Amino acid sequence: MKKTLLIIFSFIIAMMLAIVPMPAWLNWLRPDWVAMVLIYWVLVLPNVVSIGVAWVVGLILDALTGSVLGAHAYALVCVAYFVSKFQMRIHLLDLTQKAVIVFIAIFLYQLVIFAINGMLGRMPATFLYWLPCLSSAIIWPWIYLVLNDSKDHFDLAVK
Amino acid sequence: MAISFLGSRKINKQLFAKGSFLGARFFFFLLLSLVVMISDYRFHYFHKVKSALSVVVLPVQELVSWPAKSFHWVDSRVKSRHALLDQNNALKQQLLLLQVKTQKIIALENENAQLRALLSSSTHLDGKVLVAQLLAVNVNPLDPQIVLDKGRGRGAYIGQPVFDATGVMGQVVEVGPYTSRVLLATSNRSAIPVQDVRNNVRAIAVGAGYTGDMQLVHVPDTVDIKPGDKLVTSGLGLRFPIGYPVGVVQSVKHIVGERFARIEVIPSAHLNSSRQVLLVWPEQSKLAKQVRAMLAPPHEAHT
Repeated sequence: MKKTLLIIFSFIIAMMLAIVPMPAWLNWLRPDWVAMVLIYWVLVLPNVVSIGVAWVVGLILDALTGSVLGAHAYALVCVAYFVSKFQMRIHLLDLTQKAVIVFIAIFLYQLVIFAINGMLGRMPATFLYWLPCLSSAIIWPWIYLVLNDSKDHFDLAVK
Repeated sequence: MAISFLGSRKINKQLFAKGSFLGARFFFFLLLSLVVMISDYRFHYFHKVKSALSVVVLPVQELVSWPAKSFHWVDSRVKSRHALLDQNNALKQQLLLLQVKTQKIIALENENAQLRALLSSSTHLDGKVLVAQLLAVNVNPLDPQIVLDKGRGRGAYIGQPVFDATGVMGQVVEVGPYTSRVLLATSNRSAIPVQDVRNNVRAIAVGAGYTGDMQLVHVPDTVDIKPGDKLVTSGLGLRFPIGYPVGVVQSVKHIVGERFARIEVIPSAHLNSSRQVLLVWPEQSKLAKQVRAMLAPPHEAHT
């Protein structure tokens, strides 16, 4: 129960970070917070957080960012599938190797959104669009540690 | 040791068995997303779902805008008497200046009305206006949008023009019960019919996307538009009222071998910094009359 609360809380924080206003030059570097939190939970609790949760979170993210409804849902479902398919193997990797996996997953996520926007005629014609997969991979270890610590804290509190 | 390791693996496998049918679930949710996307793109009744979702995300938006709001609140409470007096003086001076300007405008308006009466067209319109606060900014640079704190409850509608103190901000594209989403003029989904103040040349200003300015599209190479020209709304399309500033022409490039000139426009509204904007309800019938009068050839306007 407490874990569910923590999961919801972490997603809310990620969504807030996803819409916090930032200076224009920093905007292109904004990591995909929600996707990263999703990757974490799918890695750690694959039986609780999986494709269904990814879809719901994606739909809320769509409403939040005003994109066509279902675009982020589609992309997050792809990410959740990719991660839970290889969850066992990814979980054994160390932090840096996991960062590489996050890079690939976020790239996949952006590729899907890129394709959807392209089909709707809103193609982003700049390479800056691809920066977030780099910034996400760089910031990943910290996200991982913070979420891990708070999860352990909650685990202790339950016992 | 080896046995316990095997055992733990077995448990893991069992646990994972609960999350089976992964591929099936994956395809199910992919299909579901596709259905949602297509219906959102195609069907208008899906707006209801969207406006319901806008209420769901409202708390997150409120939370994000809360620090800025509370900062303003604290700032306005703890300002010193001295600063307030200074501000008061400055505002009084500004008021005086504006009053002087208004006097001039009254005279001009009278003159204008007389001229319009001569041309037998209607007078300038003044629709209903409502001040709205910015609730959230869409940070996606590819699709600049803002969220306002007035929704259907206050009469906002899809396609409604939005201004700030200096010009056209954009138009409402989504309306929820308590919030509405505004597509900024710099989005490449936005197009605004404009008119050059200097010579009444008409064109369409389309947002250039992430660069934060606009372009005039399909303007022939020979048309007389120069850098520095001011562009105002032309009222064509009957969405924006006539004569509100849209932007200033920054550069005009004639490219050899292309039919159309490349004209870049800097928006005159403070799209990135305005916290208060105006929602406008133009009077449709008057607007239509005005546009008809504007489009009619001069000799017909007299009759």
